[in-house]
Amino acid sequence: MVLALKTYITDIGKKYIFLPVSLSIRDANNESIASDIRFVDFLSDNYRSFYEDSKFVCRENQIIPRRLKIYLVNPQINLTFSFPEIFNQSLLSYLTNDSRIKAFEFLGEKIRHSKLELIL
Amino acid sequence: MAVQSVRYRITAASGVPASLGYQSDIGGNLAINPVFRPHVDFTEALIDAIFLAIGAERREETIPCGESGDFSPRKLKFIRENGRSFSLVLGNRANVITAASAVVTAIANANLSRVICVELEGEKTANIIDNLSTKTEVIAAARIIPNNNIGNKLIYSSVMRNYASDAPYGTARLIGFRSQTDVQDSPYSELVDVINGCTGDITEVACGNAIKNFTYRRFIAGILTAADDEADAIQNITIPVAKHLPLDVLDCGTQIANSDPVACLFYEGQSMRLNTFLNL
Repeated sequence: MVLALKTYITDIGKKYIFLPVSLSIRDANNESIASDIRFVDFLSDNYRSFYEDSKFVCRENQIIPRRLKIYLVNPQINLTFSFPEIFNQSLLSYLTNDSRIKAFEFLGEKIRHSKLELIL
Repeated sequence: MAVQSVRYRITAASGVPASLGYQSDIGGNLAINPVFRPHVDFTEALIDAIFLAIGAERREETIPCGESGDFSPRKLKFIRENGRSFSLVLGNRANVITAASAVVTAIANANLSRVICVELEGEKTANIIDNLSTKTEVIAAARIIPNNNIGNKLIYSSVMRNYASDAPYGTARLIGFRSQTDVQDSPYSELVDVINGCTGDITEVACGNAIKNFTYRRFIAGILTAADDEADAIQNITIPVAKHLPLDVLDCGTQIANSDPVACLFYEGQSMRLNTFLNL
């Protein structure tokens, strides 16, 4: 099974479904590590509902969806994962109020030239 | 003796920009940046002869904005008597046999360990739904569910009467195929007309479905499916493509891509062993 974003709407309004989720886990030295920590455990039920385990996904190698990076207090690691929503006040409040999270970053989406030519 | 990687490009046909020599199965000319890794016993002259055989030439520069990621161009794979193998990108399906034969001959003429096996590996694309579809919404269709009586998924199998092979180009063959479906003895109901259009005439009678060392060209469609009390899901089905001409392959893909439940679409070209045609 692959974890997928059930629905993803790009900054320019094109909708995709079942995009595979990318996940990176790094330690305090920013070295990639293996970990059992699940990023969805740091999300509210509303945000968790964006994700679904799926046998098949629709890979798009020319689109890198928006990503959320959260820095945890304990253990001192950071998780970067695909996130479907545009950054907003609600998300800011949620992240700020979670004591397990000491910092966060929002990384914008990337779309390659040839994909833009197709969809614009 | 040559040992380093050699960058090359496919020679473009007249009227096509030099950077776009590779002709996709689905139509259109693509920019690719292949690299050849010659064996240690290959001389520079032999490398040039091999490039000439497949319609390629050395290149100095990387072609900007070339295909990358999940796209894999069609290749000829050569296996030598000494157990080593190498692959070369082939720009045009019409040249499969002549190009393979010329490479085999070039190596034989150099009095090196001979080629004993040649395989065509079909091109594979990333998701091309945006290339082919104009629809704005994906609408869920019937779930492909296990057959309650057997426990296995329903499989529709049949035989294409007029499958046009890539090698020799356009040669008609009887080719069996199998695909998941939601209904007994028929292609997947939501795409039945599209699938029938892609497979062309079919027959239920053949000498078994599979042909050794041969896989037919196909689209793999990711279909959004729904079922009672279950979350929507993507399910894949394989749709064979009987016709070989790029416009026909493109037409088949366009019909699939614009079908309501199709969320993503991948293409895999024909793969086969070529020994029979090369007297190996």
